[in-house]
Amino acid sequence: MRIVLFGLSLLAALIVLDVYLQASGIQTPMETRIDPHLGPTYIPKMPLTRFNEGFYVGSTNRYGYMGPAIPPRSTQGEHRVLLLGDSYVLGHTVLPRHHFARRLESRLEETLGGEFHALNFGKADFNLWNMYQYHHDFAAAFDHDVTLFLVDENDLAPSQQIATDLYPTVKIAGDSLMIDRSFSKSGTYRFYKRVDPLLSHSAILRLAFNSYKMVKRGELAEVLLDKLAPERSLAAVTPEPARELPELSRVILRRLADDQRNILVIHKKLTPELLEEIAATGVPVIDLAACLDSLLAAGHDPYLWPVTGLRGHWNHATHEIIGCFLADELNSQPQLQRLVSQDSSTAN
Amino acid sequence: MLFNSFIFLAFLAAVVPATAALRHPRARALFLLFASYAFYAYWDWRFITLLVLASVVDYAIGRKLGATQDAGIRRRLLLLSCLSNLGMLVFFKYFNFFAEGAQAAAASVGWHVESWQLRIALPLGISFYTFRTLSYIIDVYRRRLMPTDSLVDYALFVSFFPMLVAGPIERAGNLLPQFANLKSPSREQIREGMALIALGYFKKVLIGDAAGRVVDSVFGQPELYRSPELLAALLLFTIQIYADFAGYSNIARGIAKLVGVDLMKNFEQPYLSRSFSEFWRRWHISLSRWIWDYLFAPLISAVLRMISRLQLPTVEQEMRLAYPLAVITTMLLCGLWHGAGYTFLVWGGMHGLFLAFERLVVYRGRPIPMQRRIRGFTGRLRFVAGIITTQALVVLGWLFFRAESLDQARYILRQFVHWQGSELTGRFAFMVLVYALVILLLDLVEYRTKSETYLLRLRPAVAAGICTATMFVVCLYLATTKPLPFVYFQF
Repeated sequence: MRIVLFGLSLLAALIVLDVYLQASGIQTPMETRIDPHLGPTYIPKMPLTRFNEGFYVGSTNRYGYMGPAIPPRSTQGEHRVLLLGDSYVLGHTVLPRHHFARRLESRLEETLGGEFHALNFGKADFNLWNMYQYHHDFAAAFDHDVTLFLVDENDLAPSQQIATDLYPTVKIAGDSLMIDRSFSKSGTYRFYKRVDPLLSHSAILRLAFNSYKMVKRGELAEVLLDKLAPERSLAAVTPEPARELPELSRVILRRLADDQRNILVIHKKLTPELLEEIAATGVPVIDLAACLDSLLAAGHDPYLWPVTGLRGHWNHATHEIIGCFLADELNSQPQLQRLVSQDSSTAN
Repeated sequence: MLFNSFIFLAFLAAVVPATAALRHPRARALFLLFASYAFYAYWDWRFITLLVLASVVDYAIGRKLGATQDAGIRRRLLLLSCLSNLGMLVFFKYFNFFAEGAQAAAASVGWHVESWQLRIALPLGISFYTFRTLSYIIDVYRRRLMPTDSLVDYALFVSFFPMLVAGPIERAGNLLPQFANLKSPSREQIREGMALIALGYFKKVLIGDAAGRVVDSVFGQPELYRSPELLAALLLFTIQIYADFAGYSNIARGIAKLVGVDLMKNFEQPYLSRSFSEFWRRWHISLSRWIWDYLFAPLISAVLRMISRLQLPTVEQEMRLAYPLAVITTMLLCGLWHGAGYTFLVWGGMHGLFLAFERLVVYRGRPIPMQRRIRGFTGRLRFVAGIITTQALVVLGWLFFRAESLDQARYILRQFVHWQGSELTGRFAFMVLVYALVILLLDLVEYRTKSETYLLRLRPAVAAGICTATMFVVCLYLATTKPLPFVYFQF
């Protein structure tokens, strides 16, 4: 009887605590679900609060991406920039109004006139291969004038496709690319489908999952032993720098080059060899290195968060400057100027 | 070592059973003393010397005070203790503040003075253990307490790890007899201890820390946030500071119970107070009592003695003059005790003014009742209005307490006056509402049951289930987020 009472009260307390965690925004359940066609996608209209090096309060829109809900079809006079990338694009470190996408929109409107929308299709841990698939399967369905693929060295030359058991994978098939969706038949996916109702509703399970990820990252000793923990070697923390472009990335970039609307935005300094390889694919490139270097030269660390003292993603000032920089770079793109002038002539 | 860290939980898991395993009370006291020093040394071992010095000096002064009847010698011994304790506190905590003030004053009259800033860390908990040692010496001087013969007991009184860095500011009269005969904890103490620890961790980690993350983000860069977000952050700080400190006090009392020691209560639903004097009888009780006994009471006596020379017709009139002087001075010093900064002075001054106004204008010099007699609709209305008015002013005070500078506080106040809406108003408002409801619910249950260990009124298996679930979630949260230090650690 005592054991039953203990078990029931434990369960009831866990449920109450779970509700509290969700309502207060301390922890949300999994914000993604795994679609058999798309792989992990954001659950629409999900309120999110994030604390990392920065602070984010926002939500996914009804279409399942971040920011204002812009429908797939555009209106006349409206121009769109699709943003694809990893957590830098996702921007869960700043309030939505401080995201570089907002600055990009306002700057383009100031300089080119008309109405501009930047749609944030960023996803944490995305690499170029995932971006290509997500763009192909989902983002491209939204009318757009330009698509920016924001990448760094790790996204261009990932060590492997992330969580292949739960993601569609891109493969080279002869001269073209194919998307393999066989993950939906994997044991992991079947297991996921069974636990999904719990994962998508429980904040405590999400906390447990985060703890598991922390253990997998090798941070357990630091968490448990604090300053008594043995220091981890730098090699264990920093991955090896990429030396050359993998074949799959090269093919993807060539494919992206076929559509003039696609632009690759490099947001961390690459080796000259890698830059040469990218240039050879023919895809237009905007390199943010100069912009970030100018910040550093002016004494502002683009990755330093003054409040938490952590280094990580772009801070507020960097978002502001990147938004302006990207707008100015896009402004000089002939295809965008042509579109805007076409619009104004149609309107007249 | 933060209470909200795994290393502390491991420390606790080693110290509590080891203390219980020792049979002799003296061995227990000695072991707890070493454990307390280890706890303190984990932060910075160099400051152990200060702790030992404070213990030895005041132990010796206490013994001398007990041994002599000569009033002159006794006064000199008291002065010596005050000088050594307050000297240490002033040097470490206020030197830079006063040096900066002197430099600014000199600059204002055109004198250029070189900066005299010291680059030293503030020893953790110095304000707390200084007040503990002072209270011991003053009590011995006033012959309210017999000095202890045992250096170990006295050193443990100064450095007992559950209360070392952030109180409660216990009195020697309560603790020394317990240390002199340190018993194994009773079954009741263990149950109460566990319940207090679980409740404390819930308040500290799942309310205080969680709300604190929003507060730190907003107050860290207020220029990035709009009026509703700034207001939400201020309200969340109101919740954070209470949950953080009351949670810490719960954990401290719970841990002390596990080693057989009962510490005093430090909070009693302060946000349900309907007046400022009631608030100060419910907020940080150990500090309020200390200030009342050792600062306000002597100060008002001295002020009354001075005023008596004016030969006013009635005692009431003398009191009308003496009370505001004494209470405002006391609260200014209380503000300064919290931190060496102008924001704390403003906070203390505000509370002093509110207390004086309340006593002289609202209650027209009558003592302010603590007992709540709520009769009829008007009574209820007055009760709620009293709470709302008091707490609104308390929240205003917290703005200065939390702001990093007077300029920042002014900036935020300006944002409240020139209100600018935000697309996130609903989100922030809901966040505040959830935290406020949870803390209010906990307080109401405590108020109704008149107990902090209300969980123990449930069946043992149910209480155990709730505590286990709470600790499990707390551990998961701690595993995935960097622990925030207690707000009062900085003082």
